[in-house]
Amino acid sequence: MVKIVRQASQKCTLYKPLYCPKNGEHLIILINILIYIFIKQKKLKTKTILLGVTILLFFPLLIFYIRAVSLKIGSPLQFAFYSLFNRIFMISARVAMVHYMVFPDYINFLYRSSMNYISCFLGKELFPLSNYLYLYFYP
Amino acid sequence: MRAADNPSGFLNATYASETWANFGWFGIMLSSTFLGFFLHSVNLWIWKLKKTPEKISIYSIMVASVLNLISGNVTALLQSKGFVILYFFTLLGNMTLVKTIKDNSQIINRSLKCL
Repeated sequence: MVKIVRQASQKCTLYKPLYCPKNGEHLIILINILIYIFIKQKKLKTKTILLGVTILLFFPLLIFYIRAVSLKIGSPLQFAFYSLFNRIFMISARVAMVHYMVFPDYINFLYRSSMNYISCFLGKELFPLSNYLYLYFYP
Repeated sequence: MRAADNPSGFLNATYASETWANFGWFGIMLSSTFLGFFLHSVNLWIWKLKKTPEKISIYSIMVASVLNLISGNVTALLQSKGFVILYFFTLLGNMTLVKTIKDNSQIINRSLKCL
């Protein structure tokens, strides 16, 4: 199931948020909410902000809920809330920790080889950092 | 973490982790300073512009793309998340607006001269 490094790292797009399948509906909803906020500016109420956040988090919550139901987990709603909390607050921090654990103790600093366009301009081979770290931890 | 938890094949972290992997502490400081300066400059510039529907929508997409810094690096934000292209769209729109105003003023001046 692990994606091939080359295929993943060589994609080159200038703008992908709205059609990228991993973004889903929530990005379009977020943009619409932001447009509403910028039009209203200082006339926003707390109720409106809460409603916006609820609408925004509804779709990911629904996906986690459906996943829990398909896995036949005892309390799917609790699982959905926990997964959402985990995704927002825990996973990013854990993955960042992986970076700090690996560099520079196990691998020396990359010196711009993992930066997509910069390495391309300087004629260096692109180092697929995120994929490499995944394979490092899940060999 | 187990492989079953994340079958994507990638471990994407914040921009600070990416710059740490590349340059260490120096990278974190430099990228944070650059991002702060660049994003705030763009922010101030857009707020000074006239409020039109297209500028509000572009600004909203910019704000949404900045949120990707939670799980992406600086180059991804600027390039693939579309920040730079949106910046140029705004610049182009602004230039077109200025050009239109100039054209209109020229037409008005000519018509005034004819009168």
